[in-house]
Amino acid sequence: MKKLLFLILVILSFQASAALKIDIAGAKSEPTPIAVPQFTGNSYSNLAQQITEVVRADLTNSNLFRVIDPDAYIQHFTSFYTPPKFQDWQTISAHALLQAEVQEEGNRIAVSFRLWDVYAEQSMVAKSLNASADQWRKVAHIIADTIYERVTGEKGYFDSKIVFISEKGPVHKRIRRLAVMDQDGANLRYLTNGKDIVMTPRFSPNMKQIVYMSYAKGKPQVYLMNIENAQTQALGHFDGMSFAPRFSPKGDKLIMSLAKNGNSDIYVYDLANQKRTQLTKHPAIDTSPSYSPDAKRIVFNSDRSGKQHLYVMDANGDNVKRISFGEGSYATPVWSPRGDYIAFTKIKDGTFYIGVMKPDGSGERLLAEGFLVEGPSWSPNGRLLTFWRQQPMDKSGHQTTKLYRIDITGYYDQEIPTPEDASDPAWSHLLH
Amino acid sequence: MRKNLLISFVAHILVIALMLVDINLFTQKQDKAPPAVLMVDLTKVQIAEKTNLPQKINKAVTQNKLTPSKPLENKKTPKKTPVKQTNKTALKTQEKAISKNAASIKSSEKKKEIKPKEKVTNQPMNQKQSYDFKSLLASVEKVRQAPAPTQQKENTSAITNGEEVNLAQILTISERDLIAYKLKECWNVDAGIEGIEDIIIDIQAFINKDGHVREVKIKNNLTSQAMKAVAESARRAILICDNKGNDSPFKILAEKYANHYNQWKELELRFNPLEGSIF
Repeated sequence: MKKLLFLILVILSFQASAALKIDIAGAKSEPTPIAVPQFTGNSYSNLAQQITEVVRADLTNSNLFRVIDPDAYIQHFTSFYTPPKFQDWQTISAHALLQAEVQEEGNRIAVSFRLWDVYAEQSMVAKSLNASADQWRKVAHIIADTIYERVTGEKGYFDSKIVFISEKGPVHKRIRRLAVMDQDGANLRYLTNGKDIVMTPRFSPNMKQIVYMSYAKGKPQVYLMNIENAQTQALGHFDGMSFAPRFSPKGDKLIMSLAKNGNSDIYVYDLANQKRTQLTKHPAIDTSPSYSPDAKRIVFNSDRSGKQHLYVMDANGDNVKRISFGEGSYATPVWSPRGDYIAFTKIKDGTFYIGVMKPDGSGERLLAEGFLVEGPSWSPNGRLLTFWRQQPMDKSGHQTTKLYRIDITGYYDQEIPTPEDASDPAWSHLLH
Repeated sequence: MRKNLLISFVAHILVIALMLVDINLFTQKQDKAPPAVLMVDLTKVQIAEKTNLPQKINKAVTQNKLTPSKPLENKKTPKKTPVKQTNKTALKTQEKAISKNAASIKSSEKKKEIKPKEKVTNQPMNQKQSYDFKSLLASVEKVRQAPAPTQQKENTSAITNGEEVNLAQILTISERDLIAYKLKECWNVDAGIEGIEDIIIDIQAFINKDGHVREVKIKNNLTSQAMKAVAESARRAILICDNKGNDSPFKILAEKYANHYNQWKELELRFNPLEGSIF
């Protein structure tokens, strides 16, 4: 009897739980449709409107979001506490909805926002930010970063800066100034007056300093600048030329090239004790070093094989291993902050390319090309690369040089607007 | 005595439950016809004639300025341009990536009229684009260019009206593919997520008898923000598809396999964003 009952139960449970299984292989990768209604609140100085616009612009320019035209919105919020009518937002195919308000009090602003999953009808994230009113752009970038991170699962990059060389004037009398701006081109500030030639600026991880190369004293030398007060100091007073500097991930060391007697090698310079250590000793030209994010390895380029190629070594200079084997030559390698890729410049058959490969040299992909493209630098989240592109000389003898950025997928090759020509961009870390 | 009564009571309950569950099945089995006789061309079977879409949604869609993503497209087999095999040299990879970029831009402008050899053009910051995940990488292009499944080439055991006990066996391959294809069309994932090639999401979807989704459960232990984002996008895909009325993939089950509801009231859906391709 018991056995019979058990058998019946087994048959029933088997039949009831035989769920149909279906595999869904592959997905679309289109910008996520998001609704960003005008922020509500008591803002009397147009700040709500301005913050809304910056959030929309950030999301749109990331190309991972498509901000739905506000004219299409069915529900219009009058208060931050009005519950969303999800069906209204599903109707316009919004996958996510941002609901936010700005409260102004004196020169302070309090911004509250909540991101909704329109189809799951759930809150995805909610935050409140307080800041001085003049920080409204930063507040907008932080909101956009929060949305980006919550929807894509990766840190954003909107609240970050780019340092670069602003250029103007004819080719033979070019004025090059060190400049810094927000990643979207706002808040441009010049840090040098253009008297000396400056090149390859890089941010320190704490964003307080910039290291760069300058011809201020007649020969190329590495300088350190305090961003706040623009004070500079020459580093090390090395014999020979020092160039291609870059901070270690912790910011306590600088790695750079030193050239003496026609030979260039990689050195690391300890900022605390001002001690320098030679990492490579080779008659070939070794240059453009860049640390891995864990600071355990260094990528650099060298012509020791007869042609410029990329090499990876341990942080102490051991275990040098070539990683690039393609045709052409490779230069300016830079390790992604995610650690998964190394970006580089490649020159082949007279054409320049910006590409990426995995740290073991596999999976090489070329993302952008041009008459002259050079100097890739990673966004703080390792998702985008900024670089500069120079066009061939036009009839008037001018060569347009502009900053660009491209998604790691190889799409969205976009110009970053600058008032003058621009080159040598370097992206900062995330500022918040 | 009490024990015997209890056993008897439980046994009766079970017998009644068994009858309720399977009474249809037993009756149909008696007067069934052999499956071979019931061959029907599935192209003549309409699976999406009526809609369960709420009235409000239909009305609002017609009023709205934005057009939701082409609901009828799923029924057609999209024309795909044959794609060249990925090459050995880096330069060719670049050319391919650039041509795919151009093609994807074109396709959004000219509805899938792909011109693979066009050069990349620089786009202004505000330019909006969309591209197909399939054209993400040249190396994975070929795998992804499989045409949308149709219902034309399969056997018709699906309409034997409960003849087979196991739905997994009687659901035709094309129907299964169509359900997967429709879900894929609803699924949008950021292709550049770190480690996406290793992410697979398992979801349990509970479906009502009318084909509407009642509940969606993510089964994975979400160990990273990236995995969470992909899992949520998969859940969203199910809900977006559910919102498509007659074009919902689950309508196929409700309309053709009502007698097998027990077997599709709970679906196990496995979402693989890159289908094992190398990124």
